[in-house]
This record gives sequence, C-alpha cells and structure tokens, in this order.
Amino acid sequence: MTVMISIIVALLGLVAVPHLLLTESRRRRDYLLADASLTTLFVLGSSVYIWDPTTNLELFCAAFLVLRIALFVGWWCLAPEAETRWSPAIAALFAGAIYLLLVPDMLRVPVDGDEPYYVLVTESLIQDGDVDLRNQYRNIAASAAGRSDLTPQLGDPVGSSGEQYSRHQPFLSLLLIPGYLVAGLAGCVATIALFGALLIRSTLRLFEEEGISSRVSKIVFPFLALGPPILDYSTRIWPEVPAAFFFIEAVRGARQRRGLRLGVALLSLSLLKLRFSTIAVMLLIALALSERREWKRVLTILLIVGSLFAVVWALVGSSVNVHETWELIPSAPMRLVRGFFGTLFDGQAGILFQAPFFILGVVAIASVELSKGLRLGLWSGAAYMLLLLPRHEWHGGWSPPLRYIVVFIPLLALAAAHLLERYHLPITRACVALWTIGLVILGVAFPWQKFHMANGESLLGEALSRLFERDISRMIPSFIRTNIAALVMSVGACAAILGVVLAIRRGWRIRIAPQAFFALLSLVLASGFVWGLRPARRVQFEDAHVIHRGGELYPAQWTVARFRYRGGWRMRPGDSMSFLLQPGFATFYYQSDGGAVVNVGDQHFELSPTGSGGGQLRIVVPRQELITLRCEQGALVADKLELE
Amino acid sequence: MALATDLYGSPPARTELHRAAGSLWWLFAAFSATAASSLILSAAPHLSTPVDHFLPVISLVVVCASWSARHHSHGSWIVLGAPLLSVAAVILRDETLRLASFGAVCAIAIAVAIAMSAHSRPEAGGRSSAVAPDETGMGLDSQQAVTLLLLAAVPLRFVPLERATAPAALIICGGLIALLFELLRGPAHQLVHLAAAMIVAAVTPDLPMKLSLFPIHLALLVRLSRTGSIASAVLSLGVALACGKWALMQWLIVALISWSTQVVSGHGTPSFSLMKLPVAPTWTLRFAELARTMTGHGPLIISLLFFTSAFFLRPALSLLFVLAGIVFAVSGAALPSRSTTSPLLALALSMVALFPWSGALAATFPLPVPLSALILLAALLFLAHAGTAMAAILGMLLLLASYWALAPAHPAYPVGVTLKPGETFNLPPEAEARTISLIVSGSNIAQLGRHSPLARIEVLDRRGNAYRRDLAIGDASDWAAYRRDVFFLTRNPVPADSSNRVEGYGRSAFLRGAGRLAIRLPQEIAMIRVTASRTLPANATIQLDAIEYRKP
Repeated sequence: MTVMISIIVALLGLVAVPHLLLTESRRRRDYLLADASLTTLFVLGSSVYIWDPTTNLELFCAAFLVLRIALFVGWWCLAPEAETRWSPAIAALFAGAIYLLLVPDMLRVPVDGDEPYYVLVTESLIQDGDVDLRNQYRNIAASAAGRSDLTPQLGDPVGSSGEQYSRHQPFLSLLLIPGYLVAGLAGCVATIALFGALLIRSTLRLFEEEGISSRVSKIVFPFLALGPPILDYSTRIWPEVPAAFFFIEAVRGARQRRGLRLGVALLSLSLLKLRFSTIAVMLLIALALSERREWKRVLTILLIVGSLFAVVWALVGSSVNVHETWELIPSAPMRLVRGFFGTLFDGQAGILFQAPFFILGVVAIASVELSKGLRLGLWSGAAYMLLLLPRHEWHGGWSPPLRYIVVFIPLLALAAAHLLERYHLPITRACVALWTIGLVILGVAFPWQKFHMANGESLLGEALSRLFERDISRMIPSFIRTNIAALVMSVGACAAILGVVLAIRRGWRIRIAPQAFFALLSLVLASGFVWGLRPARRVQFEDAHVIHRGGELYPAQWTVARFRYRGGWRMRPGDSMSFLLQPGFATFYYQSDGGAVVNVGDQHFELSPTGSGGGQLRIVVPRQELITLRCEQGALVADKLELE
Repeated sequence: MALATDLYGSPPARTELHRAAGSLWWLFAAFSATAASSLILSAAPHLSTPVDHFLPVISLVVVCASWSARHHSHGSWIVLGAPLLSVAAVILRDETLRLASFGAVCAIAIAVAIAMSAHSRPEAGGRSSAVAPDETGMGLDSQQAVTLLLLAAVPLRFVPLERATAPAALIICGGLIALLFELLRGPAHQLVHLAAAMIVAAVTPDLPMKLSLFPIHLALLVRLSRTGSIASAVLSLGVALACGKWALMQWLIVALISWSTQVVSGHGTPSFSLMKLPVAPTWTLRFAELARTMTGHGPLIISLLFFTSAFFLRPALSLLFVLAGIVFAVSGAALPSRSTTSPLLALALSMVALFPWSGALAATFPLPVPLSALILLAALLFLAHAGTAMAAILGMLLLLASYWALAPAHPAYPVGVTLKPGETFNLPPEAEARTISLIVSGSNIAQLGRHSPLARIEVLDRRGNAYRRDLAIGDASDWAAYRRDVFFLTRNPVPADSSNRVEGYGRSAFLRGAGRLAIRLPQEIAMIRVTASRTLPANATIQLDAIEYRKP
C-alpha cells in the first residue's frame, strides 16, 4: 500500500514539478507531450501483459517510474539555463524527494548487511540510554529492524561485565534517533535520505566554488544524485552518504578557511567510521602543509578529534573500537593492484559497470588541470584508498556495490565536471545514461539484488548464464575470482584511458563517427556473446550456468566473509550436476572427508579422502554436448574442473 | 608534398576527403551491424522464427534510416538501434516480447529518421530541397520520402523471405513509390502522404497475386482524379481490369466523379455551358452552384463514396475501399498539418512496429489493440495540439486504471472437440462456476455471411433452469478466415470478442478466427450442451477450442 501511495505521489509529482522547474511554456509543453507519449506506450504495453500472470509487475512499474523521472530530468538538465529553474538547493530538494519516495520501495524487504545493527544500537540508545545490546538481542522480535534472525556479528566486542556491544561506531545511530522517534525504521532511512539531499546540495555548491558552470553541473547532477552508488546508499542505513556529506563539507571548509565547519565535519566524519579518520588526518596534513599559518588551527582540530577518540575509549575500552592499529599499515602490493583494478573494472563491484559515469572522473584526474578543492580532496583520500584496496573485501563485502568509494564519488563527479567543461562527449554521456538508467531500474525493482555474495560472478553474467546454460560470466571481468576477461579489460581499458589522457594533454582532436561507434559496439557485443556460448576450459561448480540437481551451495550464502572461502557445491549420493566443458584431460578439485565415488559421463572415479584440505584428481572429460557429474557414494564438495 | 597540399591545403579537396571518409564510416556501420546480427543469429539457438532470421536486414534498415537522416546533426545516432537490436535478440527469450522489441526499434528508428529528415536542411553545396517547409517548419524532399517509405516497406513486406512471395513484394514496393510520387503533388503535408503510403504498404494483401497491383492501381486512380486525361484513364482502366471487379468499381467511381467535377467547373466539355442558359429552371442553377463549390473537393467526395461502399462489402474488399478512401482523403485535402500529421503518422508507425505480425494487420485494421487504447492515442494526439498537460494527466490516470483492472486470468481448459452439422457435445461443468466462456471457431465456413447460424448452446443450472444461446457468424468465424490465402474471399467478419490469437510470422501471420462467447448464470452451472447447426454446409464443422470458467 505504501509503495502504491509513493508511486501515485511520484506520478502526480511528475505532472506538477515541470510547471515549477521548466519556466518556458513551449519547453514545458514539449516535455508534457513526450511524457504523455511515454505513458501511452506503457498503457499499451500493460494492455498486452495485463492478463498474463507471469508478468513481472515490479519491473514494469519500476521501468515506467524510472523512465519518467529520467525523461523529466533529461528535459530539465539539458535545457538552456534561461528556460529552467536551477540552483543547488532546488536540485537537492528534487533529489531528496526522490530518495524519500524510494524509502517504501527499499523497505519491501528487510534491511540487510550492517543496517539492522545500526537500528539496534539506535533502539538501545533510545530505550536504555546505552549501547549494550543484550536486551535488544533477547527481545529481537520487538525491534523495528524486522530481523528476528539477528545475532551478534563475528568479533563484536564484549564488555567486562558481559555487555554486548556492536562493532559499529555509535555516531550514525545517534544521528538516526530523531528519525526513529518519528517513523521507526522508515524514519531511519529517511534520515539517510536527508543526508543524501544535503550531500547533493554541498557537492553542487562545491562545483560552483570550483568554477564549474551551471550547464555542466546540470549534466552531472542526474548521474551523481539519481544514479548508483549515491542513490543506493541514500536509501539505506549505511554511514557512507553521511560520510560523503561531511567529507565534502570538510573540503569546502578547508578551501574557504572556515575552521568551525572544517572541525565539525572532520569530527563527524571520524566518528562515523574509523577508516574515515585517515581522510580527516590526511586533510589536516594537507592543510597544514599548504600554509604555515594553518598550524594553530590544525592543532586545535586535532586536539578536538583526539579528545573524542578518548571518549570512545572510555565507552568501549578501545579508541579504535573493534579494529586494530595494524590495520592502518598498508600491505600486500599485489592485493593493492587487484583491489585497484577491481574497483575500476570489476563486473559486479567496479565503477565501470556499476557507476560508469565516474570513470570520466578517473580519466579527468589523470588528464585535466584540477581545481584546488579537488586536489585537496584527492590528497586526503590517498591514504584511505591505500588502506582499503588491499583488503580481502575491497569490494565492500555484503553491501551494495562501491561501498568504500561512496565517500569519494562527489570528488569523482567534480573531476568529471572538469572534463565536461572542456569536452561535450555526447556519445559517452548517452551510453552511460542508458546503462545507468538500466541499473537504476533494476535497483528499484529488485533492491535486494544490490547485495551480491562476491563469488566472482556478476548479476549480468549470472542472468545470461542461466538463460543460455553456458558460462557467459567468464566474459565479464571479475577480480574477485580473477579471470582472463579481467586481464583483457585491465590492459585494454588502461590503454584506452592512457590514450585519451595523452590525447587530451597533447590537445589532439578526436572525432568519433557515432554510426561507426554504435555499429562496432554491436559487433563487439555479438562477438562476446558468441564466444561466451562456447564451452569453457574451466567450470566452477557453484556458478549459475551449472545445472544442479540436488546438493547445496558451500559455504552457505550467508556465511560471514564468504568471499574468503573457495566456494563449491556440496554433493551427496544421488546428487548430480550438468555443465559444458571442452573435452580433454582435466583436473577435478574437490574436498571430501571420507572419500567418494563420482561418475563423469560413463566413467567412475574414486576420490580419496582429503580431510579438511582439498584434493585433486585427473580425469578425462568426454566429448559430449552436456557433461553430467554424479555423486555415487560418499559426500564431497566439488570445487572446480579445469582443463589442462 | 604537392599532393599533400592538394589534399589537405585547399578547402574543396578537404571537403571531398571528408565526404569519402563519411561514406566509408557508413559502409563500415552497415557491415558491422549486419555482421553482428548474423553472428548472433548463427549462435543463439532461440532465434528460430522467420522474423529472427530477418534480423540482419532489420539492422541494415536501422543503419539506412540513420543514413537517410545524415544531414541532421544527430542523424547518425539512430545507429544506436543496432546494438539495441543485438541486446534484445540475446536477452529476450520470450518470443512475443523479442519480436515486439525488434518492431519497436525498427519503428522508432524510422520515426526518428523521419523527424530528423523533416527538420534538417541540406548542407551548403549539397542537394537542394524539392519541397519547401510548411508552417510547422518541416520539409521532406521526394528522395528522402521514398527512402523512408522503402525502409518501412521492407520489414512489412519481405518477412518471411520466400521465393514465392518476393515478386509480389517487389511489385508492391514499386507501386508504393509511384503512389507516393503521385501523392506528393497534392496540397497536404509531405508527412501525411508518407504516412498514407506506409499504411498502404502495411495492409495491402498480396494473395491472390493480382492484389499486389493495388498500390499502383491507387496511384493511377489518384492521377486520374487530378488530370482526368484520357491517357491516365486508359492506363488505370487497364490496371483495374487486371486487379478485378472491385478495382473496376473503384475506377468507375473515380472516373465519374473526376469527370463530372470537370464538367461542372466548365473544363473539358462544352455541355456545361448549356446549363448556363437563361431558360434553365432555378433549381438547376442552384444545383449547378452547389456542384461548382464541390469541384475543388473531388477527392474528398471520392473518399466518402469509398468509405460508404466499404460498409456493404466483404472484409477484404472493405479493407481495399477503406485504404483507397484514406489515400483520396489525403490526396486532395489541404488539412492543417499538425492535426493530421501526428495521428496518421502514429498509426503508420504503429503498423511498422507490428511488422513481425504484418499479415494479421489486414484483418485487424487499423490496429490489433483495444478500442480504448486507440481512443486514448487519438485523444492524446489531439490534445497535444491544444494542451499537453491534460494529455499527460489523462495518460497517467489511464495507466493507473489499467493496473486497477489487473486481475488474475481465468484458466482456459482445452476442449478440442469437432462437431459435424447436427452433432451434440456435452461439456463438463465446473463446480461453483457461474460464468463460462466458450472459445469456438469453425472450419470450412469462410463463405458464410454475418448472422449465419453455427450452433446452439444450451445451459442448465443447478435449479433446473434452462438457458439457450445461438451461436452465429459474428460470434465466431472460420479458424483460417483471415489467413493470407483465404482472406480475400472470406465473408466472415472478425468476431466481436475475438480470442486475439495470432499465428505465423510476418506476412504469413493471421488472426485465428476463434471467438469467445460468454454465458453468465445466476446459479451454478450443471450442464452445457453444444449442438452444431443442421444448416451448416456438409463439409463444415464447429470446433470447441477451449472453455473458461469463472467462479464468483
């Protein structure tokens, strides 16, 4: 019902808002005509599917809603300045309204990841005035989080008297209190939505201060505010969006020499998450190095931040909560490389696939002259990135994509804006807009799909693999389970980016014929698809293209930090799997406590016991259309089958 | 060095080089788009329909549409349709949705090309515009119009690509070009003419083969109505004779009206001057005055006569007369551009979008969508001229209303029983069902006219009350009545509540002639008996395809 009301409000709003934001009557009329045409199209579409019970109404409604919003935003943001009403505050109000309308949509399913824990701490603060969650866990059914299965997270600190604390810092929960008191869980999400709106206003104000024209600001606005990842995190209870807001406010405070703003912003940023404190420290160092006069101010702020860490220490017995100070030391250079490229190009967790507009920001950072605020911001983030990228969960763990770089997304948007000041890039913008619209439609229709178990596949790859029962996932780059596509993508994309950077720096004029570009894109997609349909050289048995008949995923989907395990498929006698693989000699990787007998094609293989470790067996893959692996005796976890 | 100066130094040489490079890009785009579609077609096992096999040509149509709008600054963007087609072909496993998406991409590409061509101005030194833009600021020269018409006609006429029907399609395309050229001489907007020609391209039946002469027959009739010359009269008479009696009837109407208007206006023959004699009675003079005022509206009179005749003819001939009526209505009318262009073009493009089932368009003319949707579309296009806010609100409310009306579908149970004349069959009742819908069709009954009895349905409720309903042509029809090879001779109208089941693809698609007959009772149904009429032809049968039960 709430979702229906929000849809109706959105639909009515999209009739009313153009009258407020489009000042020129002809443009307004043209928009309304286009809007009416789109509506008619959907009415006709609905008449085709209205009696079909298999119709996915969620997707249909989401597509309609998102396309209508995209149509209006396109009309509004691409119109000449004189024909529209535009200011950072108006843009923030618009974005905030969209976030609030999406709150019921997001709450169709229970909150997930770290979200319920923040709600639990909020409830504890309101009800008991402390952060001890013992009574909350005892009476978990009464929690507004709606997660009766909630138990303490692995590594949650326990007090000397048995107090059960959360591993998360309590500052976000403190911020959620007013919202919770007004509307419970929805109020908590609405609070984050409010921060989202504030973030948009601050970012657009920063754009103005950095000399970005309103033409470019209007182009960047929809990608920043209404696309992933800001849209994803503005409608969920994570500290990322408030952190991004405080970070941008800190950058603005620093460049304007406003000590109070800077101090409050850095303090709030540091209290949200320990990892953000590296940003605060680096920003202060950058500020101190830039001008000698700043030392006094910097010291004062450091003093304040330090004293608040002392308060945290007094509360939970450690100033860094559940973390360790060694975590602040960068390590493992190869993991750093993998995290770096993964953050850029991974099919499920990379910027290119999940928020492609911000790749422009990456290009801009390397190519165009950066403004003062942007340089300051990037410098502040350097240590943060060096710390996070080598982590096993560089992709964010159980969360919507790009979790760790949400805080820098406004900066990437600012960098992209610098690029767009010099180049119009209509083809790039159009392609990126289409992809982003698709992402938003899926995000609105199926919000739970934003969480992925990070097994090396991607939603797109899984969907295509299931559709064709072929390993098409391998055509999509993955740095979680590094594949050849990832290597090709890294090399190719780096070469392309370097080429663009070189061209920009040398002032070369590159003109791409759109017809050739789109046709080539078509050819690339077709070739990729055809290649993907061919049998692979390696089969990971937990993948979507494998047809499972019995058995279960191992480790289970909800296992904490599942990405650290070598996933597989647990089989017992009678269970079988079918898959495609090129014929030849292959190595079968498995784990079996007491040994097992499996059948592949017409051959029987006896698997020796491996204990808790893994074992290998050389087998011959028959020349068959579809190969079936059946467990005859014993039990095993089938990991993968790899051609030699 | 000298060569370099020649090539790059002087502006004319550079322009030539750019043009050559531009042509190469277009060739590359055409090759890549076609190759991509062929690759997908060769690999994807689910692309098995004749429309899927036509995918490379559809991609080529999209590239050509873009090429036709190349003078517009964003014309080359239409090629974006090519990757969209590839993506749709790969990810959409649902056949209806996939084919509909092909149609939509194709129609949108042509629509955008039309809009861009109409708004673009040729480059300096390029070709000059044959037609000046009208008050809407839009202009389309004849070459562009013909290109766009052919782009629309190719998917409409050549799917499925069969050796047997290709000549007919080629003849139709030739006729369409002639018709468009003839129409473009009229006073209405070029886009209206283009839309009318596209509608003819979409709907013209091609079996029997002589019907493929219909577009050229229309072109000659339009010429006859304009010139009234003996040469065009003879030529059009010859084509009409080749087409059949119905074409001769059309020729007679056109010839009579065009010559009589010439007579009234005083051109051609001296007989009219006799009417101007002072001895003529007063009523004769008044009639002459009225006739004189009508002389400028000859095509409209012809159009009205065609529309009127359509009411009295069998479905296929009715369609041909309606098409002729539309063509004459636009050929002579100087209607306001905006109010006529949008609805007619929208109708034409909708037909292009339905090209995967183009054969079924004839029976379901103008479109196989609910009347409410058509009214909505017309209202929107009308309101678009007056005030679009109202149109937006209307569209939105209708969307919500359509969702409100969303209800679970009633399961249909296949029956699959055939009854010969006089035979009876008892259908099993469903517990608690008070409303049943029988889906019925016939076989070998295409020659029966409206209201011919087909069967009697008797229903008994739990209280012993008996109900009777007679089934006639109009409630159901021959299952193959609208098939391509039968449609021209069929006398069955489309059932009032058609089952809307389309079979086949492209020109071979047809609407299955089954009708749904609903019977509602206040009590639970105890018995349903269907008896085929004894008056049916000996070889005719009644087919009980399925039954739907609805419980309160």
